Amino acid sequence: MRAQANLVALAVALLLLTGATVVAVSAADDALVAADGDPAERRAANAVADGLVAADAQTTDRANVLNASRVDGLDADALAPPAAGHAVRVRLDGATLVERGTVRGGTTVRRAVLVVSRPETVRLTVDIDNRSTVRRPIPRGVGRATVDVLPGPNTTIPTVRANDRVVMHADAGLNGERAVALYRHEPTTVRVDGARNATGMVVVTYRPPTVEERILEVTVDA
Amino acid sequence: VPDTRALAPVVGKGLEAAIVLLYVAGLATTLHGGVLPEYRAETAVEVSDRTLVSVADRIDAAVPPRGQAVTATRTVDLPDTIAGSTYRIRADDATLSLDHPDPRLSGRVRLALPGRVVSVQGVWASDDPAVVRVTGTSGRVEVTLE
Repeated sequence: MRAQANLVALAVALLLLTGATVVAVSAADDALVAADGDPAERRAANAVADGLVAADAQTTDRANVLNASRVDGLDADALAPPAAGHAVRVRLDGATLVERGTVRGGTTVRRAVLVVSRPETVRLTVDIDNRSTVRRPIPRGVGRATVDVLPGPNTTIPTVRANDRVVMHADAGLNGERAVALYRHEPTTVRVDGARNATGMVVVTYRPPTVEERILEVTVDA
Repeated sequence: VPDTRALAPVVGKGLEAAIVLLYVAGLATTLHGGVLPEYRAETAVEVSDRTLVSVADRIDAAVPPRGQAVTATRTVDLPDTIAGSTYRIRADDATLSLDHPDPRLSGRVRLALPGRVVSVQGVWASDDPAVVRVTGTSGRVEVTLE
């Protein structure tokens, strides 16, 4: 009987071993199933998102700063090539900008972006007399302004300065409007060098930016 | 009557040993015959996908911002073998393909390169060092795998 007792112990041991093997194999199976991501889909979504926020993209003013008006006109065909032939959806804070095909599930990547919109135009007018200054400075964040020089009769205005930097100059006198580039990181004061008894007007037009933080979501369903 | 009592433990132990051997043999056959090859194949597919995608990402990232004269060299890490055999990575005009002896492990992806990149050419063998070289001017950039 003692030998039979040994056999029973062996049978139990083998049974336990079988159980352990089955558990191990099913755990490995689960891990393998869970690892079944779709790297191509993720890559396409990342490429589209990177393409939209890149510094030299059509949609941005600078890296990660989207221009609201250009984003609204976004075209699905302008998206990065890895997304070609797949269903794509681009959303900004939940509002769909572009959708091509039907997106069911798929892979989503998110990017925190700033959206700059310039809804209003501000006009600053100054009457020219000797060394006139536009009293209210242009606030920071404005990188472009239009300066319209309207000299009065018998007046020559050779130079327009922004923060003491010469942005417009003509020896024979300025007349008419021109877009000038401003230093964006500080307020700008526009000044006009006029002669004594100068008359006329300078009109500075700019569009102050409104910056909002948004989440850009790109979903690709391959 | 011969005394055979001493035989019983020997037979018993022999039986036990035989059962264990049979069991181990059976288990090894099951694992190697069914489960392991299937796992290997699935893993190889995933490794191939990921290799191709990460190489494409490296090539995309190798192109520097626009500039007068552009030169960049990047090394790329490739797994030497996938499923035990070497493979090749081939670039041909904005498409990157992985050529593996097993067609299920081959694949292709589109590169996401800016418009100023006019050509992407070259072949890498997986067991050689892989270098991506970018040369060009502000309007014309060439990417070579070598």
